[in-house]
Amino acid sequence: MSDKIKVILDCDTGSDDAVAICTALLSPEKLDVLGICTVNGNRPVPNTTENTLRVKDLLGSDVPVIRGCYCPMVKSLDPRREVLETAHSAKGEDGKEITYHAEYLDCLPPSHSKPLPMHAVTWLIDTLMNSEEKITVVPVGPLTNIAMALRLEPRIAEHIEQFVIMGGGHLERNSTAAAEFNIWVDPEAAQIVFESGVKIVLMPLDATHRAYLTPEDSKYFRSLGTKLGDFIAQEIDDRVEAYNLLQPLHIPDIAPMHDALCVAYLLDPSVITDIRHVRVDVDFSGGLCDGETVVDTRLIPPVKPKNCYLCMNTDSDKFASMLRDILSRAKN
Amino acid sequence: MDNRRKVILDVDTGSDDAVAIMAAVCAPELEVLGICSVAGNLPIDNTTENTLRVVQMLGADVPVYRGASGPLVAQLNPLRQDMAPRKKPVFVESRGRMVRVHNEYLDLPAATIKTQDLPAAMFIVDTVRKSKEKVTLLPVGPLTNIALALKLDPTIVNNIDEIIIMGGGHAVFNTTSAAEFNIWFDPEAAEIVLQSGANITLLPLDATHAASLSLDDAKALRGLGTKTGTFAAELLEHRIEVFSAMKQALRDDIAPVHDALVVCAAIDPSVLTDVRFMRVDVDCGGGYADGQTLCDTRALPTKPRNCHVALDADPQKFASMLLKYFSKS
Repeated sequence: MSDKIKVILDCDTGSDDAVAICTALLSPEKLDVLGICTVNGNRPVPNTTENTLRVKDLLGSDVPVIRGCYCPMVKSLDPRREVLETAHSAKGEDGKEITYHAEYLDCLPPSHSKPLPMHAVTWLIDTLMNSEEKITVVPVGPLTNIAMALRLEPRIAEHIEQFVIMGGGHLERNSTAAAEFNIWVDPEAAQIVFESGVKIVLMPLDATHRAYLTPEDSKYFRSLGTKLGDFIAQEIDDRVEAYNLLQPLHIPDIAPMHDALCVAYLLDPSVITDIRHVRVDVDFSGGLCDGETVVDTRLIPPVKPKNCYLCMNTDSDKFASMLRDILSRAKN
Repeated sequence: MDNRRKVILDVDTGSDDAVAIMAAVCAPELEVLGICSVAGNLPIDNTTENTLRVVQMLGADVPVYRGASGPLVAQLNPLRQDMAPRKKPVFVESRGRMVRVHNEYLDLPAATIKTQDLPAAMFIVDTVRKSKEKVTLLPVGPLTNIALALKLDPTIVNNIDEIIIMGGGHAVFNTTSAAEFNIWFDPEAAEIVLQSGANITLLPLDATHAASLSLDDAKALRGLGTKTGTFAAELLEHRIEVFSAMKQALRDDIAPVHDALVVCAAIDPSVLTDVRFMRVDVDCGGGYADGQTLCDTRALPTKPRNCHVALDADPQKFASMLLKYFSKS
């Protein structure tokens, strides 16, 4: 039996998703990436699938990519639930669109590989049910595929080692005053996952806003002279610009790489410096707090069992040096 | 000229409400125009009777007005509050018996004084409209009466100096994992008040817990040898016992006296030590976050800021103010 961690990624690629995928695929000594599922989120699923394939091709990897769900489980049935969101993009001075996630990862060529000819939910169930070892599932987009799989075949829970999820916010939020984007897109799916009984490690914005790269890192990656280095540098530059304009953070000129923190945590859990065992539920009432991860911080004995390891802080230097190290391994 | 600050108290008495009433009536800096009761900690019959008992004990010439018997709309859906997720139990065992934060009746003689005829919300509208000086509202229970008054006559906002509210939580909660009791009990009323355009200061659990009082403070209050000091000491000791049994305070020998902090903040705002101007709205969605005071902490809030939120407070200053007010009688 191999001592590598068997991993399934679930992404809405997405600029930080791309960095997460690269970090995972360039860590073959520790991670055995069984497949990458795609989902609607930062962009519609045809785009997130194409973008995932572009990243896979860049790395010359043969990891399977499987296309997943087109829309949230039920949220989009009520159009009112979308209106409270904050702007995703703005026009820069020269009229160019400044955004966190471009429609396509433009600096990469169109993909030549193809997704598997099956649905991500079917593939997830097949892969999990047929695996003798437990598998770690790393969802870094909305939780639609995962919740659909849990509803179709609840027994997959017994085959999952743990979820390491990017999503939610305890004291920091982005899409609305109450909610982080991934959870906000599909709150019901998230609550299904939180009630699944599987061990959950959650990377909310409180941790991921401290998992960032900077213009200094961008210079370093550009100096590598590799296609991957140029790509990472471009993503850093674009995200720095978008965050400065759309969502100023506690430090200026940083590019949080939310999704990559999940992968970094699997490689070295000490990148997280504050982890708390708590009860988390998701508000899905359609009100002001729609999509909020409600963390029970009360001192009274918990009314419901604790269900989540909530990561509240990150060793920013360690995160950056891990990414510098891993992402400079690419020959190409 | 009388330079006392004109205030209307709105209470759901309630153990900490009783301390707030005593402080407001005893403090020379305030002129209490009236006290309104509201349903909250206890049903309206109890909160009204308890309010009268405190006023009677003080021998004060302050009119009491009976207010709303329940939230504006939150109880129309029977599942919304009865079945609320993550709701904490009201009773807890301590020293072999079941105890609760607010006993049904305060341990004072039954009231022989009566409430005024006017319903509380109408008293608020009338008084604020007619007052030559601006009036400050001090609601320390659910915001039902205040919301009703603001709906009856939205122009009263122009003659309100400030509304200082005990309610809500930013990172500290009690009734559910997302909400504090006063706001949770009537979320729509709270949102009406927050959207009214009035000058609002919110004292959430973050501030009131930071200003928790201790058994030593209770001893000092008792040592005053006054009626008010002794009664405040009894109430504080009871609160410390219940909070300790519920594991709701950071230490076993302290408890917050939420509502009285509002009265002290009306007299000396420096009792609050970390006040931030933010956008605050209340979730009325009926789900896990029902009744949450949602503070927009993002650098670029989507709606204009509407509320001064106190996140910290000074327990020494708080205790010394109460000791001063309760030293006379």
